[in-house]
Amino acid sequence: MNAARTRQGQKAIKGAIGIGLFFLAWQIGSSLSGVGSYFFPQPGDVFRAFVELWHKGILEAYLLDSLGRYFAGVGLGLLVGLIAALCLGLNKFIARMFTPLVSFFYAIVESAWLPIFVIWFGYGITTILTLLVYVVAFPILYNTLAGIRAFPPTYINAAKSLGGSRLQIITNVILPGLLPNIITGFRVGAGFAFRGLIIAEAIAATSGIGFLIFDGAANQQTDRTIVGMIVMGVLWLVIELFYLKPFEKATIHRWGLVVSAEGRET
Amino acid sequence: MSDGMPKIKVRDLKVSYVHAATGQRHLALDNMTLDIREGEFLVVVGPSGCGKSTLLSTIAGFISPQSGVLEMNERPIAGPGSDRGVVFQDYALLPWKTVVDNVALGLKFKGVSKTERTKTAKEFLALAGLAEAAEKYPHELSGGMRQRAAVARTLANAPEVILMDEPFAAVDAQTRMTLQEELVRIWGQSKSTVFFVTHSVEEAIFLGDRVVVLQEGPGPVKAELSVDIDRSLRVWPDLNQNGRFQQLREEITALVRKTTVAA
Amino acid sequence: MMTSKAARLFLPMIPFAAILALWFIAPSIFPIPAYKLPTPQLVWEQFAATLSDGSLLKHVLASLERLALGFVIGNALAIPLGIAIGLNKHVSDLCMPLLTFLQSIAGIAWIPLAVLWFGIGNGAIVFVIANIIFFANLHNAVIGVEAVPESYRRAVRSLGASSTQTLFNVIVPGAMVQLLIGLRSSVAFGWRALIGAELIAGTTGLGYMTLDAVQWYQTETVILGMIIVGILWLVLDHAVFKTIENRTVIRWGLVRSD
Ligand SMILES: Nc1ncnc2c1ncn2[C@@H]1O[C@H](COP(=O)(O)OP(=O)(O)O)[C@@H](O)[C@H]1O
Ligand SMILES: [Mg+2]
Repeated sequence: MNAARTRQGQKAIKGAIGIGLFFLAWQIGSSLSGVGSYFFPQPGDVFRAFVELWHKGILEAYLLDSLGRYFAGVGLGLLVGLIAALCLGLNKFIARMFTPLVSFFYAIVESAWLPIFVIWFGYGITTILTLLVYVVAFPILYNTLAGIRAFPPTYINAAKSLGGSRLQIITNVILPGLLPNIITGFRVGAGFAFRGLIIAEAIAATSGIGFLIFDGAANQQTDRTIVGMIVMGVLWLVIELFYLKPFEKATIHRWGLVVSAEGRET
Repeated sequence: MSDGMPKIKVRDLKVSYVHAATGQRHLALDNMTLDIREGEFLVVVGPSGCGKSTLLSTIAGFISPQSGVLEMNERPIAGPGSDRGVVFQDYALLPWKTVVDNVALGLKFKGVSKTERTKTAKEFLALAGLAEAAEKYPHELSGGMRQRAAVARTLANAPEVILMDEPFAAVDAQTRMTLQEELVRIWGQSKSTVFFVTHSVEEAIFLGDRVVVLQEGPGPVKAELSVDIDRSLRVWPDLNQNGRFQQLREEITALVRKTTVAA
Repeated sequence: MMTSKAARLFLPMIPFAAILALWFIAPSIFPIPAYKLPTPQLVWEQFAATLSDGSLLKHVLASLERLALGFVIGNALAIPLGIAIGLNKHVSDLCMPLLTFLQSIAGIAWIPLAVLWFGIGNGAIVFVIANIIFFANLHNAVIGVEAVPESYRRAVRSLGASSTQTLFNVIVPGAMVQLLIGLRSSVAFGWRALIGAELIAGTTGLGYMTLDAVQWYQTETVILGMIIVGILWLVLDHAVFKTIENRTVIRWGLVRSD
């Protein structure tokens, strides 16, 4: 127990040394380079910019904007992805038929859609949300179709021989069986969406963390850009650790239980 | 056999594992004393978990002992070396090399030229009955063939001592007997020293000049027996009818079982 | 047999054909202005025109060149560092927390700094792509090294291998399955980001081509760019990476081919 704590402690200390060395290198690099805080701000400059943005309330407002867009887009994308998966995944025949089309659209990355969305919807929230929905829905659809094509027919036959109706088979066998695919797709999409949001805010918004990052540099306030980058990094870590990981755990665990329950029945 | 000096000398050896996350120590070997004589085929038997693999890994130099003496040719063993060849239960053939390249690997490390090492490797493959499989990849072979290749790889490197950790445990019974017979035949030609670990009493008697029984849990060896059955009589399945074999089997089985019950 | 194979090839054409047909007839049913949805003929003519004047090829090559450069630089840094982290606990403890944080700052967010330091154009974009590819493959290198069975290392050390020999005969090939997965997914991440980076910091390239066209309401160029982005990626992924896989890990029996 004690030894375990020592090992954990050592790990934390070494990790802190690593981060400390990074900041030291940054400090030394920026003060020795002599190119000025516009080209290479010092850690102190960034900290001051952070405090200033916080006091003026800009940072909080931008953070809320970004979070609102992100969760709205990801939620809608999940919904659209599930509905599309349900329609195209009704059976293997349709799934096979649509797979190449879905692969093709999946291969058109989100940034390539941004210009046409701007033409269609103008600069603003519609473009951003559409982009996020697209970027979340397609990985879900793609992974679900892959799951349907590879779905073991024995599961379905077993359920049929137990007297399951079509609806019962869908809700008891197919959906739980596809859950891992849906979750994988969602995880991928949620990651893409975060990156997509930054780009979308850079091009089509006048607020948000992505906007802060690009606007700072455009106005020679490089320290603000770095504040934006760090806030973005922390935000992603928080989303990943407290939101996506637990979600994945809860559902995959549940899936494990479903399978073992079925095993007992047959 | 030789001038009395053991090939490998183990005195009061103590080995423990340290758990990576918790830092706790787990004692696996204690008070272990043993001689491996030049040119002998020594077999170690004992129930699973008694420390056979730990002893072998320590002699191989993969694990360093906590205390005690561990010497080869009167020099302390400090780490792995090509003087001690190891045959693993899971073969440990490199999947990305063909069978012949696997067998030639030790020679490659020594800097032997490609043509020469391939020639040597092919000789040993022929000896192991694998001449046909030289250009295949390990995953294309059966379990028995993989183990033959692994033995050939070790022999091709001409180690002074061969350490084998339950090499035939994963193959089917029929193949296993064939492999045992082939091992004895090949060993008869090379006359190197063999340290062989198994939990099968029959296998121990079939193969060994001497059999060492380990006890459950860390501690000194439980018993040492000489297998006084002429090698010409050791043929499957006739050996099963041999009276001395049956006697030894009963004796060793009792020793192994008693230690298991005691724990 | 024959018919089902033909059906398999033919069936997926139906949705493509349906979309194409919809695109053809949409302007005559709905009042959509041409600048919002140019006809397929217009896009095709734009394709032919930009192909013959060489401008399309110029943009495609610019994008591919940046991807290749970013790929080489990113992996040349990621693979050795990943292997060092996988092999050595101290290096791992020292670097991992910092790297985890730096990784979570999406590569895209480096664009402004990269433009500041390298100027708009190639340098900035390659920096961003290399950054993304570095982080995308770093973890795979670490996982790959950690997944190499201990018995392989032990076996070669008993055969007399030096540390360098162990590295090149066991660690690197043993980590190869994971590294290949990493190489492949790192290119995917790089490609995604490349188009985004070119939107903002490009003076050439497919991303630049499409966003530039928006200013002139050349929507046919925008759609042409999207189609080419999709096709290029499918070709890249299938032709390049499937081939590498077939020649290595599938031949070694480390993964099943399907
Ligand atoms: N890597 C390890 N870490 C911790 N304990 C181990 C490790 N390997 C073996 N042990 C423990 O050491 C003891 C001896 O194991 P081993 O030498 O593998 O026995 P055998 O080969 O006779 O089955 C067992 O109690 C086992 O649990
Ligand atoms: Mg063992």
